[in-house]
Amino acid sequence: MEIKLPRLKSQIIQRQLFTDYWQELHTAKESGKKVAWVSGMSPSELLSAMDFLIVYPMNHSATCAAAGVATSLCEISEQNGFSQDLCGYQRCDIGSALMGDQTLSPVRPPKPDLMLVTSNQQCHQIFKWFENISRIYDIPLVMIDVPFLDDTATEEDESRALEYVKEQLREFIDFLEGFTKRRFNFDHLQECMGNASAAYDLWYEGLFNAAKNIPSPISTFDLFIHLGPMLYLRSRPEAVDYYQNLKNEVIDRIAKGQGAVPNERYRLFLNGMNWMKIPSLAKLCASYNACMVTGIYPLLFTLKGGDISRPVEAMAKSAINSLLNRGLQTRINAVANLVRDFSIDGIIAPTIRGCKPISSFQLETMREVEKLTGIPNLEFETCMVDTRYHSDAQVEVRIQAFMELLENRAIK
Amino acid sequence: MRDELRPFIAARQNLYNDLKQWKKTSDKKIIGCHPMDIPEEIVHAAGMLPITLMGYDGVIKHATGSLQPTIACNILLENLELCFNGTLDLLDGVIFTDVCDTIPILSDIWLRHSHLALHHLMVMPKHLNSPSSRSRVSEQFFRLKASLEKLNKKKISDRDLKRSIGIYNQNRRLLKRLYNIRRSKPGLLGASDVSAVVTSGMLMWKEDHNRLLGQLLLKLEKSPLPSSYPKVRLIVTGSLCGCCDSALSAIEASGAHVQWDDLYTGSRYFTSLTNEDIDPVEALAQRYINDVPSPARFFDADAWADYISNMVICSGADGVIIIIRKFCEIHADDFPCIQNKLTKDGIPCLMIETERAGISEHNKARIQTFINMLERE
Ligand code: SF4
Ligand code: SF4
Repeated sequence: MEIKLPRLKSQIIQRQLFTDYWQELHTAKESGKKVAWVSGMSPSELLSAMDFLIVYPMNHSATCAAAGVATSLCEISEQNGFSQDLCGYQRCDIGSALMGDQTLSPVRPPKPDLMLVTSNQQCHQIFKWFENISRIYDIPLVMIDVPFLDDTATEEDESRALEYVKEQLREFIDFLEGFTKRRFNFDHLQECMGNASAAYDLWYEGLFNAAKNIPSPISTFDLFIHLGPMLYLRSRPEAVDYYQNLKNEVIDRIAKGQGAVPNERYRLFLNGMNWMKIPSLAKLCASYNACMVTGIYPLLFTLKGGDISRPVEAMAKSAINSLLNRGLQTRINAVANLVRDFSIDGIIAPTIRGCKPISSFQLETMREVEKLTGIPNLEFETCMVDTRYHSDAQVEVRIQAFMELLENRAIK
Repeated sequence: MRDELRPFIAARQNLYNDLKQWKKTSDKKIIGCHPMDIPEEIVHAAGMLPITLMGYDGVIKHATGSLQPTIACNILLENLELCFNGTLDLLDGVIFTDVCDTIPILSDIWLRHSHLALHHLMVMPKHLNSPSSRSRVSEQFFRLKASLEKLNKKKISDRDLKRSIGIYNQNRRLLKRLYNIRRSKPGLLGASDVSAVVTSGMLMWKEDHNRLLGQLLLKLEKSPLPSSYPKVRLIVTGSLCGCCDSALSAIEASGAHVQWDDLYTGSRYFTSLTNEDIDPVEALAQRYINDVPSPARFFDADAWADYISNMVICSGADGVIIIIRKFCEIHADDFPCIQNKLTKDGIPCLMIETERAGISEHNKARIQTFINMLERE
């Protein structure tokens, strides 16, 4: 019998928000607004301050996966020379751009006027992906280069990195003035950053931290779903209202002792992710009374605000402090801490095909986390969006075996 | 010619045993340089021997437990195995550059398992388009210099660094002479021979390499033009971070001559010289900035495509073989741009993927078909 998991009502509000937002995007030209495609960690507030509308190609690929067209789009990029070994997000989005007006994408993102990519996830592919898109559309691409702070990085390295990022942000502000032929609007920037910061705090407390409750009122699925407004709309007051509403809803669940999974018995952690499979994975786990309460992915986004009276400094700090920008030991410690703080019984650790910055050290990380916490993990290979590299049957068998393991541990 | 080539070929074959022996009698330090883009001159100027870590062909037992084998290229896995199996314990230090996504991760894994006196990751700017990114190059080179000085408890003087730059420049000039001979006397030197000569220079003192190269060049320059030689002339490009001997052998076995190359263990190593008249660290930074286009930097793919296309035109080659190491995302991502440019310029090209075991039978057949097609044209 198919398990039905209780949904948060905010999802309905979100649907409406995004319907309106995509409408705005598709009529951007008529309304004289510019569209920018940006990477997940980019300081999009700078663009919002200058009234750009934002599109996240990563999120676009996830949307294509949810609509079941990602694999076909990946194949289009492969026919144009892009290797199957590249990350699925990239292949899918490039495939869509290569198809132009004929794209299979359900949302058909409007052609960008500008692209902005930030490197603070030590991911080269996202750079090259954006570079390839900017070549296909023949539009300018700006890169904010955020130096990786590895396990040997010193305070001096960190402060140099900070200065370097600040300098680039200033260069980008100059560029934006030239590009839009308008003075940069610092007042509006402060508003945008204020909204983003308030939205983040509500998301963090209301959603992310709420999962520490037993039973957890939310699952990773909720975490991902409700990340959408944080990406697209965080500069706007609507985002603050949205997350306030969501927080109230979650508080209500906590007060009623209502869990995201009825009869929660095991609490799981998702290290890495496979967008297209999260709903089915969540249901599969729920059939064993297990809730995937949290994961690493949302924490990789550093959306935390800072001192908005010093916007450049705050944005630069936020960029270099992303967990993805930090060395392996920092990441191992972060996972181990989350596992303890969220009372986790088991870790699901998919290796994502082609995704080096998240998956290539999964084995090392999981071994170390198990040493530190004693919590077992399950690894399997999958792809962000490409169904050719995911086997439901195999994952089902592996999850079943893993749940039996957890059961045996619980009996002991 | 085999005798003259022997020392170059031997340098790689017994590398770690030879180094172990050498260490017994020398107090000099040995520094492993993970490919690519390490300014070896600074290591050399510190009186240490820089050795490029180019993997190995033994069994991989431990590395795959830490680095995902379905994501990491063979060079990364092989070098990590050398770290794990103790082969690299003879090193005094290791230096990495964040050329691709996995190298910084490799560096952090390495750090957890090995305890060499020096462990240094250079974090280079990802593009060179702005004043701030360009100034970060010299900043990173100074940072490396400071790390080496700390290890040695001794400053590296400008004089020593300039001397090392001079020795490295001489090496590059000699290698260029070797390439000119290969081009003008096709059939005299095989592509794998040339690769062995270049690679050996990454594994021994440059002074020794210059001496050996000088002797080889004298012989080669006196040698007559072989009476018969292959008709099809090719440019081979890519194979980042390591050799591609099996691909080069397959190309030659299929009856083509490699006219020039754009290989990591080839002309990419020697094409740019360092200015000997300015501040030495600044000069090395300038070399890095003005070096041949690289997939490790962004916004370089178009320039790289132009560079390869020009190389074909200038050398009079008939086509290009692009060698991409499996799972090398930086190269795979630039490939469509290069392929489009070459196609637009009417230059035939073939992409071949190399793996740990070299190239597959299927790819050998593709090379043969490609060369046969060029022969007919
Ligand atoms: S982080 Fe992974 S999934 Fe995201 S763009 Fe980079 S390779 Fe692709
Ligand atoms: S060959 Fe490519 S993937 Fe492998 S280490 Fe070099 S740059 Fe990285």
